Amino acid sequence: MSVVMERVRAAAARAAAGVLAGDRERPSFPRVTAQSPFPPDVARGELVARFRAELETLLGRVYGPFDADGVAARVVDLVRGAVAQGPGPGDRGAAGGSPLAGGEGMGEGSQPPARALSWDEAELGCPGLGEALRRAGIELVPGLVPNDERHHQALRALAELEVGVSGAVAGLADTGSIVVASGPGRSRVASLLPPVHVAVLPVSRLYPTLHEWLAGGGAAMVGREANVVIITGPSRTSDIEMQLTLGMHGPKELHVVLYGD
Amino acid sequence: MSAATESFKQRVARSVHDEALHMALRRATDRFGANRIKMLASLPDAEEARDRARAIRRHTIANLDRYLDQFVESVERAGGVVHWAADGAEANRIIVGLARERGVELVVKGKSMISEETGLNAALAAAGITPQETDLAEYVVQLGNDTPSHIVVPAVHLTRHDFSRLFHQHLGTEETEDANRLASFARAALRQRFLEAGMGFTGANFGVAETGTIAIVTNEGNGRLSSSLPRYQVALMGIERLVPTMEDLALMLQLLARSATGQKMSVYTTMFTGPRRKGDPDGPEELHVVLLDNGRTRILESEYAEMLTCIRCGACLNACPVYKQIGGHAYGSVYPGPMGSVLSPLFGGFERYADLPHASSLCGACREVCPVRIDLPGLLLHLRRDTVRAGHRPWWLKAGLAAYAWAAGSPSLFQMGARLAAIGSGLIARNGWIRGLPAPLNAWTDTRDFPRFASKSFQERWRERQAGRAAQGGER
Repeated sequence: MSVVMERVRAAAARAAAGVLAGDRERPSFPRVTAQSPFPPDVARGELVARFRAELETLLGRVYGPFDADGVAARVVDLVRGAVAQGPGPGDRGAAGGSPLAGGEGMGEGSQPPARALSWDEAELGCPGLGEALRRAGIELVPGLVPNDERHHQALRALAELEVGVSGAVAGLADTGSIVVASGPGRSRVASLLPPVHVAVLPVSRLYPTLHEWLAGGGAAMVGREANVVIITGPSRTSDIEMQLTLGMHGPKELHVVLYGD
Repeated sequence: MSAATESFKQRVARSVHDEALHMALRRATDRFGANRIKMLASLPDAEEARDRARAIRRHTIANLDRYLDQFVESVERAGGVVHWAADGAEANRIIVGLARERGVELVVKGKSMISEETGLNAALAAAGITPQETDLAEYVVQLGNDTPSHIVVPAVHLTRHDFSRLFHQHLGTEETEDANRLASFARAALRQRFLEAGMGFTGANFGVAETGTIAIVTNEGNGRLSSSLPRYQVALMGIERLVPTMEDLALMLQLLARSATGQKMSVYTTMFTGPRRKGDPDGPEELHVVLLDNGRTRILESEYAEMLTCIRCGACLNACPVYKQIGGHAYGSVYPGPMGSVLSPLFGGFERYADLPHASSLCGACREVCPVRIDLPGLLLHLRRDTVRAGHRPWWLKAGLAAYAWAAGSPSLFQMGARLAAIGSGLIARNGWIRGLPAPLNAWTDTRDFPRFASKSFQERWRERQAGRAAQGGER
C-alpha cells in the first residue's frame, strides 16, 4: 500500500467527519435520469433534425438518411473529393521530403488510385459499403500500427492518406456528436489522422443524449474498449486571438452520412 | 525581470497598465462568459445539474479513499499500471524513469495543467528527453519560454504577432497575420512530432472509479493524438479528479465545456481504459497512470477540502474582475484567478503566496459561476485569516493597522486625523476624487481612484445636528 493511499485514508476520514460531513452518503436526486431536451417518446425524425442542426452549427456536414446505395454513393463522392483536394497543409511533412515509404502510387496510370484509411467494412455499419467502395476503385487501408520497430514507419505511411472512413457506435442528437470506439477492425487513426473524416452513422444508433447512450450499453462499452471518443465537430482552436481555425490537429472536415430511416 | 522574481505588487503594477493585455483578456473572458450563459440555458435545468454535480463531487471527495481503491483496481483490471507520487518531484522521477527505461527521446504532451504544477518539462529536459507541447497555445508558450496565463486558454496574453514571430524564429516560417496559416504551420511541425514520439503524455479531466476510465477533453485533438499514436502512454492525474460512475462523468461533461468555453461539448472527449486490447489495430501498448498527491491530502484533511471538488473549468477566471484586470501571470503561480488564489497557497505554502488570497474583491462572481458551487470567497476569507495567523500579514496591513490602533486609541488623535484627512484630501482631489497619491499610498491610487474625505466628520455633523435640534426646541 502506498504512502499516499495511507494519507488519503486518514484525510478522507477527517474530511467526512468535518467539513464534508453530510456528503458521506451518495446523494440521491428526485430526477435520476439525466436532463434531456426531448420528451421520452421523441420521434426519430426529430432526433435526426436536431443532430443535423447541432453538428452543422459546428461546421460539420450531415447527409441523408439514405438507403445503403445512397450511403455508398455519397461516401464514394466524399472520398474522391478528399483525394482530389489532396492532403491538408502539414500532412505531407513540414520541412519537405519526409522519408516516406509511400510515393509508389503516384503518377501510375491515368487515374490516381484512391485510398482511404478505413475501419473494416464489417464495422462501417452499412451492408455492402465496402464492396461498393472497392467497385469504385477505392482501396480501404486498415489502420494497422504494430507496436514494434515498424511503428513509426507505419504511422508515417498512414499519415499520408487524405481521408479516413469510419463507422460510429453511436450518435448523440442533443450535441451533434458521434461516438467512435476502438476494437478489432476499428482503428483510432481512421477518425484522427487524415484531414477529412467521413463517418457512417446508422440512424438506429442515434440517441437523444450521452446519458441515454451510456444507459443503453455505452457505459459497458467504455469500460470494455481501450479508447472511446465522443467527436463533436471538426478539430478546432481559438488560441490565436480567439479566432476560429478548423483542423488544428484532428480532421478539418467531418462528414457524417446517415444510414437507414 | 522575470515573473518569478518579481513581487506580486510589481507584477500587478505592470499588468494593470497593459492595455493590450486588457483587450485580449476582455475578448476571451467576455466571449466565454456570454457563451457560458447561453449554453447553460440549453439545459432543461442547469441549476439542478449544478446542484447534482456539486453533491457528487463532494461525495467523491468525502469518500476519496474508497473511490481511489476502486479506481486503481479498475485501471489494473483493464491492463493499466498505477504509480503513486507523493509530490511533483516524485511524479517527474517516475515519468522520466518510464521514458528512460523504454529508450524514449521525445514525449508529446496533450494540454495539461498538472504537468505545469510538477514542472515535468524541465525534469524531462534535464534527463535529455525532449518534452513537446502540442496544444497550440501551450506550444507557443513553450517556444517563447513563457508560462500559461489561463488554465483553459494558456496563450490568451499573446497576439497573432507573437505567434507569427515565434514560429518565424523557431520554424523558419514566413511572418503572417493570418491565423489559419499560423495554425497550419503549427499543425505541420507538430504532426511530425506526433509521428516520431516514443511516449504520449496527458493529464486527466476525470477518472471514473467503476471502469478505470480516464477522460480528457480537447478541441484540437492534441490529447487524442498524444493518447493514441505513441507506443507508451502516461497520464498524470491528481488524486481528487474522480467521479464514481460513467453516469456521473456524463453529468460533469455536460457542465465542463459549458462552463469552460461555452460549448455544449468539447470537440474531442477521449475516454481511455487501459492500453490497446488484443486484436486492436492501433493504440499504445502500455498505459501508465501516475496518481499525484502534492498537497492534496493536506487539503483533504483541512477545512479547505471543498476546494478538491474543483473541475478546472476556468469559469471563475473568466468571471473575476481582478483576473480580467491583471491576467494570469500577475498571480505568479501555475493556477491563477480565484481558484488559483485558493489552491496556490495550499499547494505552494502561505509564505510564497500570502498575497494571493488578497487578490480578490470578494464580489462573489466566482462562486456565482462555479459549476460545482465552490464557496471561493469564503475560502479566500479563511485563507486571509490563516495567512495572517501564520505570520504572513501583508506589510501594508500591518503598518496600517498599527497606525490606526495608535490613532483610534485616543479620541483627540482620531478627530485630528479625520480633520487633517478632510483638509488634505480636499486639497488634492479633483471633482471629488483623488487620482494620485505619494508612496506608499499610491498602492491604492495606482489601480483605482479614492474619494475625498467628507469635509466634516461624522462627529462634527452629529454635534451640529444636535445643536440644530436644540435650537428648534428638540422636536422631531
